[in-house]
Amino acid sequence: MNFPANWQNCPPDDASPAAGIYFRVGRGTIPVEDDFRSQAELGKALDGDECLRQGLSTLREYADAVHLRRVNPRLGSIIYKGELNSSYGKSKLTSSRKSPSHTTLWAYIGINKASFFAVCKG
Amino acid sequence: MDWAVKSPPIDIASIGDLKPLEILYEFDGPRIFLSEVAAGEVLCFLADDDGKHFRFIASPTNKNIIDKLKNGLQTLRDTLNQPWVWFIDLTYDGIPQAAWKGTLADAPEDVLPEKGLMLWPHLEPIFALRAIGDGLSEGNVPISVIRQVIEGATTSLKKIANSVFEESKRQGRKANTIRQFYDLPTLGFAYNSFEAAFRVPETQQSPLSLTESEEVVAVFSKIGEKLETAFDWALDEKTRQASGPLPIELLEALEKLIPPKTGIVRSIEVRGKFFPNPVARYCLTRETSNTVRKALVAARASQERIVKVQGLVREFDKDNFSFSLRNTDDGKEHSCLFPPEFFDDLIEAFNNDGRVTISGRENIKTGEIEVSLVSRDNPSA
Repeated sequence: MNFPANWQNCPPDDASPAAGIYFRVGRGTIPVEDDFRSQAELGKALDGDECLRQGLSTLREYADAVHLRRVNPRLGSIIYKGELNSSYGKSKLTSSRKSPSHTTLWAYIGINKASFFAVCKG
Repeated sequence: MDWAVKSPPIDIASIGDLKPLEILYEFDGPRIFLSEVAAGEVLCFLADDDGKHFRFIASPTNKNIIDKLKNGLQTLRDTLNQPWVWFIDLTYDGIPQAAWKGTLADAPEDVLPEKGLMLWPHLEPIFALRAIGDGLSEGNVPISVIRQVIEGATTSLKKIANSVFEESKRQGRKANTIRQFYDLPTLGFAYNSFEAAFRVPETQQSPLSLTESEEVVAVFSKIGEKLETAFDWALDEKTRQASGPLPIELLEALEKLIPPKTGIVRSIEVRGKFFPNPVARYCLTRETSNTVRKALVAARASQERIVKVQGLVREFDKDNFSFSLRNTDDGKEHSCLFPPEFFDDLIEAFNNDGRVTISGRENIKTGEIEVSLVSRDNPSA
């Protein structure tokens, strides 16, 4: 299980194997790959931190996901929940006061990211 | 984008590159941040993303406004809602493509943050009540509705807080000031229906130690748990059948929250961070009112009575609005709780050893009286 070869020093050394519950927000009643594409994959935030761009934003608290949905209704009204383990990749709490449970998730090559998530019923 | 901006276009040269100077909220990149344009400082909000372009709303702002936003004194929507805003389309590599000058009303509702929402989750109200009824809107909220919401919040929390502290006292723990748990600072009022929101009190002295802070959080959590128990009972018949009658103090807390049988308010929606489920919303309807009132009549018939007692005011607690009534005409000592409007009369009676006659509801088991009328027997000249 490896990360893409072009990821330089990424994930950071203090990232841990993925473990536990992670939340994202989307629009579909079934999570699809497009809901789990990183900023790098989408060509966004070109001047942002390169390693963070390769990762995916998630939240560890359901209440934070609900809050995100209310901040940006266009992101979607559906909360996806994934119970992950070390076979997924690595994650690191990249939180701040701005988003206390914000966690960046880096997936191994070949992982079907969406398949680990399902619609959260609350 | 699937929505056209109908406001007049502006020259994108005046926008600059909209670089974030301070990021306030991020998820898959910055979503809310401060930036600088030729006209001054702007608050930028990522309203939409069509797969090729970002569309930002940029509102003029200043330090005063942003401080209010960061401290939970102003909602995100209200902070964005300035006399004018820019709508700015940027490519993914940050190049402005188009811009317009308009107002927030030019944006579709579903691209904007929800009304009443704070910038960060921890700024959300600890407790909020919303009265829902036809015709309730800004400039059209009768004072009776405002009073009902404010008194409902305060009195219901007071009842639950007293219950929580009674348990603490039985466990031999020192009772903190109860008042801080129900006389909450108001976060604000919203006029979509009518909502009053309250936040956690800040200490006016030196910052709480970690232990004190944890204790305050623990008490609020306990209050939230009890109130949730009450709502679950009131809103679900199966829960009522399974759990049996609710303790009278919870029924009396509910009594203060339910909508009246008639009038403009049809339902009351309750939410708050202190509930075990911080995102839950509890909707109390007139049907709920019937359930609660019926149970309360039955409970009061067996557990409370209306009394009138004369005596001397002793052991006056200014913070918790309570006192002991002694040398009474019924021969018993009574613990009494009173509403703030009787404070002056009672403290004067306390200071001057004046006799008072009080009436109210007495808990038959404990002898505690909830005072609703006070009369000074020997008022000072």
